[in-house]
Amino acid sequence: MTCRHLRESVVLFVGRCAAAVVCAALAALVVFLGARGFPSLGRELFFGDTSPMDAIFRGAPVWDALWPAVTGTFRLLVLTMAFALLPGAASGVFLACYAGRRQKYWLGLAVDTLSGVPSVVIGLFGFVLIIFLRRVLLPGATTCLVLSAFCLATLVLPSLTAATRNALESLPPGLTVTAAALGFTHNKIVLRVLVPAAGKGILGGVILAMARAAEDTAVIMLTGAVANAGSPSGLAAKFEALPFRIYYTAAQYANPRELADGFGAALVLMFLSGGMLLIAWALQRSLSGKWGGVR
Amino acid sequence: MNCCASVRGLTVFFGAHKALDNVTASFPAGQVSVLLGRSGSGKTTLMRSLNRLNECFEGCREEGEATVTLGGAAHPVRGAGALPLAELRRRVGMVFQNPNPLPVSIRRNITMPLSVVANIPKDEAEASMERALRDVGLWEEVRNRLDRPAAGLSGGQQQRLCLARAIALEPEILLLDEPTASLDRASAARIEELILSFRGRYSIIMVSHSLTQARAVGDCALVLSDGRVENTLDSINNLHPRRI
Repeated sequence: MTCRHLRESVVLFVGRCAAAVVCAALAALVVFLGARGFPSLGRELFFGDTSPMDAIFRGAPVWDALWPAVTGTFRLLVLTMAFALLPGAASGVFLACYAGRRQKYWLGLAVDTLSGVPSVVIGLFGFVLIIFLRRVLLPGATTCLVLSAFCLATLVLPSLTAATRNALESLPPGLTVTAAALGFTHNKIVLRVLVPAAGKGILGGVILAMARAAEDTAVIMLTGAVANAGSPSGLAAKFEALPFRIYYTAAQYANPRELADGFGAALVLMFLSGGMLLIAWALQRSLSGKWGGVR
Repeated sequence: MNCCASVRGLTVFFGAHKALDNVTASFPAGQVSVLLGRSGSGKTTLMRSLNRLNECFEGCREEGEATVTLGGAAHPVRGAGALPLAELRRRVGMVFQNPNPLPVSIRRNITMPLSVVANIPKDEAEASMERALRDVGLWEEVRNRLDRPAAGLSGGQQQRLCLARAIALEPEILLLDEPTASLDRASAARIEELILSFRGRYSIIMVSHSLTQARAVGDCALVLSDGRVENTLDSINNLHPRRI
């Protein structure tokens, strides 16, 4: 065996080992969470003593169960993406397709810096912001769902921008020239050719941003999440969320039953993230089939 | 001689590099003009100056005049009297050296430019698409897979699709930048047949590296060297290596 072949074999072996480690880590996590959390999954974990129909359709209050945290997480995600999606994607498009060299440098630096800010600092920013608002503009303002969503949007904004920019910049430059030669204006090249062609990458960024928003605890614990609030009554209300509930249970559990419920909550959060990935995957397939042709 | 396009004193820079140096030339209408010359002699740059595509490349600066005759009237490509850029590029179609279908279905490769650039309604666009695909002899090959990705076609089919996409927009001038360079012999012969069949219908300006091809399809030729016009050959009979 020549030295070159030996080197290639070693690289291949190390690569396979690395891939196996990733799969093993995922499998271990799923098996561990499944084994610890699955037994506690059930109607009582989600709804406690309340009837599920009453909780879901009539808004009956649910205490000491996951339902308020599930709905709180869902509302938080929707609000966060409502705040972050358009500015995040639009700034990515601007950086990739319109910005000059200096703008690219300075805006890129700002985005990179923001992406390096720890989530607890973003949470503190939100906390200070609400104190400022109480003193200056809104004396009744307090930490709440909308503040958490705003801070989470700030947290995920850079990843959305970077994913959009990278997806657009990784397209072949010939695509722009081709469309220009056909008579597309620059705006139409961007909107009708480049953004759809980069859709898969942009959507990937959206999913990563949603996953980040779904799991982050540091931001929401400083800006509005509480252990027992029931389902949020409005945007200005405090709320429950799955990651905070898991964190709270892990820190405060009083008996094995509560700990098992914590593992159940972790399993539910994992299913929620997995469900979002599946929806995104289906959306990706549908979009690429519609735009790029049915394979 | 009726001209479809002409340039006068055209100099093109890309940054500090001078790609064309004071070029003056004219191209006859309804004929096939072939641009010949070594790589880097400025053939593609000259062609791109007619649809202002050089502007898509960083550091481009042009001096001199370029004029195209569209709808019987001569229009400078820029400045006073120039057509809007999108209209100029629609009426001066271009096919590139490498097949470059958009990353969409075969159908949308043709109908999307029609609807976006020419504002043609969907049903008319479908009819135009079929006509263009028939013109390039591709209709029978793709009629049952119009909604499949264009990238799934062979290289020769992709190049014919690109040709169909260009002619669907009903251009008056066709710019062909070495359209057979990346194709096998059979596919190249097919494209050459199409170019011959388009003679008289479109004014064609074509870049080629092959003298054989130039003799086969060209009516006249312009030989470039180091960004300057080396020779102008008005007749196909003059396309002989010694003259070039």
